[in-house]
Amino acid sequence: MKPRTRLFDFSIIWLSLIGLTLIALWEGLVFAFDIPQWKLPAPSDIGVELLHSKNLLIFHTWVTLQEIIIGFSVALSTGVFLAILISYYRAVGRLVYPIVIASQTIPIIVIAPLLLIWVGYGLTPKIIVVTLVAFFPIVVNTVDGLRSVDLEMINLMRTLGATRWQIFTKIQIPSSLPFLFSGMKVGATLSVIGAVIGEWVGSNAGLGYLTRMSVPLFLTSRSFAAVLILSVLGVGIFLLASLLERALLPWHHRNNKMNLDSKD
Amino acid sequence: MGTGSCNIVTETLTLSGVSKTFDARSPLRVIQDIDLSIREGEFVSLIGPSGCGKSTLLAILAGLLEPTSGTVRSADHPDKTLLGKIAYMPQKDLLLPWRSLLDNTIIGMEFGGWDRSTSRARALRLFPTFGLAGFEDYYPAHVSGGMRQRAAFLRTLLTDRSILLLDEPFGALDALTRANLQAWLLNLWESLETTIVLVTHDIEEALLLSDRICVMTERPGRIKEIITVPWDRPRTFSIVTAPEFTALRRTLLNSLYADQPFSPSEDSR
Repeated sequence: MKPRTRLFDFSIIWLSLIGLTLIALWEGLVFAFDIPQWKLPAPSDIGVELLHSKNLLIFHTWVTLQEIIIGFSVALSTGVFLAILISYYRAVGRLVYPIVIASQTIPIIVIAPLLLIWVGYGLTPKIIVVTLVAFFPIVVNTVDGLRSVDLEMINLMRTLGATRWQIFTKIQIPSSLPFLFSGMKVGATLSVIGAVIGEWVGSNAGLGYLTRMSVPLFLTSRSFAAVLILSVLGVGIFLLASLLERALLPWHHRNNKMNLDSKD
Repeated sequence: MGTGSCNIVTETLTLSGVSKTFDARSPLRVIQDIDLSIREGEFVSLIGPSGCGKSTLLAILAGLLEPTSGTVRSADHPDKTLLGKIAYMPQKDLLLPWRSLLDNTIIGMEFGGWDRSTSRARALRLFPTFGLAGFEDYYPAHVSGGMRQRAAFLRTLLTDRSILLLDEPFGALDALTRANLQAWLLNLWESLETTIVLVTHDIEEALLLSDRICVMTERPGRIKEIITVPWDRPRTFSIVTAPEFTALRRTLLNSLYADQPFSPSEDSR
């Protein structure tokens, strides 16, 4: 089977065709059944809204984007730090890891309003919400990645004279990178959800706020427009993480595609 | 093994009464009462049926396992553990996929505190000898199994240890590549001044490369006999077709498999 070496190949054409067909179908249905705009906006209505309320949407998008970017960055740094701590200091790990897991069992929808009481309004509680939802997949995946090294590899390094720290930094950490990126991709898309939840609970800005506020005002097309932008953000972040992975881990991507040895 | 001059033969590695039992669901005695003296600069092979504990023995020599009883003494390192003092090459090349071939070979030196550029220069000089010239920047996934094994061997060699342990280094390769690498190793060994302990299931490989061959019994593995290989050095690969080679091969086959039913030896039919 010929290996596919490009990220975008013919499936993007199929996807676009299917997408366009669905949009056309949607437009047709709204027109045919004369569905009012406040109930179900047609794609054309959403398009119009995007143009008309451009500045408004840009403003709110920027608010949400800040929450995502800052929250995710904090999640990434604390997540990686925790994963390293848990993996290198076993005793500490046995205490910390269960706490990390337990933190996820409390529904974020309960924590978010509490954050408003503790931290106040503004960007901060939303950033905290984003961090809370995004750091967990990063920690879990990175810990698994650090543990994924074969014992024979570790033994070999020991015979080569490696200290525990050298094995950790030169073998375990590079081994964990593919796992980290998996965690990052999941965490990044969860960040979008986290930002929306944070805004739903108490906010006067952001795309999540916008979707919620537009509903009682019957500005449904604005709501849809905001949701569309959120989707684009989510997909965009995921793609960004994938491209970063491709760039930083060239050996990993190629590894899965090329196979020169018949015995492997 | 005469070279004409008077060689003072020093024992570099001595095993006395080495046994190893693993505590699984029921205790598994893998090797028993191994007594072996390995001389400096010697090439010794361990052959034996599957499961006879040869890899376990090698792991003990490498310092990765403690013997349940008995001692392993090294002339150069009398009091310390052998871990990190003896070079060890396992059956899988275990090259790091994220490093180029060159950077893989220098990893032992990096652990020892050498800086990268010096290490790289030193390794690069040996690339042609190892048939790896031109492939320094390739990732392991993009070169053949034979090349990966040679790179792993170079990695082992660059640690400058006086004793090398090779655990079926050519086992994962096809027959042609294997023969190729055996000839290459035979040639290379003439210029090295290391002691080598080779574990293999390949009788011809043992006969071709070694000075002495230790035949092990089935589990629990004991040393059944030690055969001295009569041919002088330097040897060439052509010796594998000589009649004396075949005769010795027959002896070894009988020694290995005589006690087993359905065996390839002549005595049990």
